[in-house]
Amino acid sequence: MKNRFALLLSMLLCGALVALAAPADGTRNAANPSQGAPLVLVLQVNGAALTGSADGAVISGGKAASANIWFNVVRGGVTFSCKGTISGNTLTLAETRADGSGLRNLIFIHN
Amino acid sequence: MHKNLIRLFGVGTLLLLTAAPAFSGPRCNLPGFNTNTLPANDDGSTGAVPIGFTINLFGTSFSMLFVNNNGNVTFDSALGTFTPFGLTTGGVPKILAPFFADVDTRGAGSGLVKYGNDTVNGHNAFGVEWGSVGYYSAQTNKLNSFELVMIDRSDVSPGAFDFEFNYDGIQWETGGASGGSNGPGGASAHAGYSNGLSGAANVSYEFPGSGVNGALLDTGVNALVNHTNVTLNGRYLFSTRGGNISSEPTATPLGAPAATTPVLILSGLMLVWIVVYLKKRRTV
Repeated sequence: MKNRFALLLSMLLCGALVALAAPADGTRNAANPSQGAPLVLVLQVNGAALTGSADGAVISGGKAASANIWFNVVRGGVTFSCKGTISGNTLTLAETRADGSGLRNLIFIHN
Repeated sequence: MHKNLIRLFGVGTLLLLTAAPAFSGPRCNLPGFNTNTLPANDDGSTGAVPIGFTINLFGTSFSMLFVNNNGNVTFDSALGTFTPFGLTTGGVPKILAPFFADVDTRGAGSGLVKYGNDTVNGHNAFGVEWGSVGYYSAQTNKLNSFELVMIDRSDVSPGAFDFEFNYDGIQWETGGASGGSNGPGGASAHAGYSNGLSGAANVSYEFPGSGVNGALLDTGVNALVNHTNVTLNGRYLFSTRGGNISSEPTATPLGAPAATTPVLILSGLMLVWIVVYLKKRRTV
């Protein structure tokens, strides 16, 4: 009886943690891989701050506000500015170079 | 009794004068320019919309354009770029950009981008209004109000047109995803136009202060609201004849800010009141 109660409690706790997790948190894979674009995004929200990596490159200046995220990342010596919107398990990310050139739209799906 | 009334009127006028905004609004904001609305969005654009007349811009005729949320219009395709690129370097779309920056109209309190047709001085015109628009991400603590007006001058020659960039207020310059923080900083706005071509074929113009932190803001050294190439601060007129933009602005500040219409009305009323009062005093 005690074991069942503990199991139920831990399941509820896990459910609550999942529910509390920020929508940006987690690992996502590119749904539309394009040349030079990152394939894997790992994101973690802490308050308004967003940390993580894009293909292992650490992101900087990351912020999150409700379903919106934005960050910079340096890949291959080039700084990219990224902004995205999360809807369900889909992250739609717009990426340009820091000088505004080379806009492309990327889609990432939560694992 | 009369003295008290005069004093009361004087005090009231003074209060109204100090409460009135410092500059008149150069934006036309005509009803027809507000006919169509780009719904609240970030980095969105219209499809190709009719200008209402045919223009010759950089040697190509256009009767349609794309209204882009981020403070510009383009002619070949929509533009969702949120970090503004320099307009004079070439390799960019054909663009008229009164204020190319990361406009975000999703925030509560942000105006929406509107566009449509009206007439200016009897000429057909197409206008785009960025009235009180916020910045990314859905921020509205600072708002920008500016306008693009394209005026048909086919009465002069086929395809001829004028266009105006009109600025009522520029309080922010950069979206959060372009390195901005609370409105300023980062990769700040560019304003001007380009034919998009590179090298010797490039025809473009950027307002002084484009891409310079703080420069184009109302408080900046190149404040768009404090300069003009006509006679009204915040208004910039370009004439396009035979596809060539012939009047690049030598944007200079006027000596004094233009007075607001309410200020002029109040000053006139006060003058009338004083004249009437003096006449009555003489007759007594």
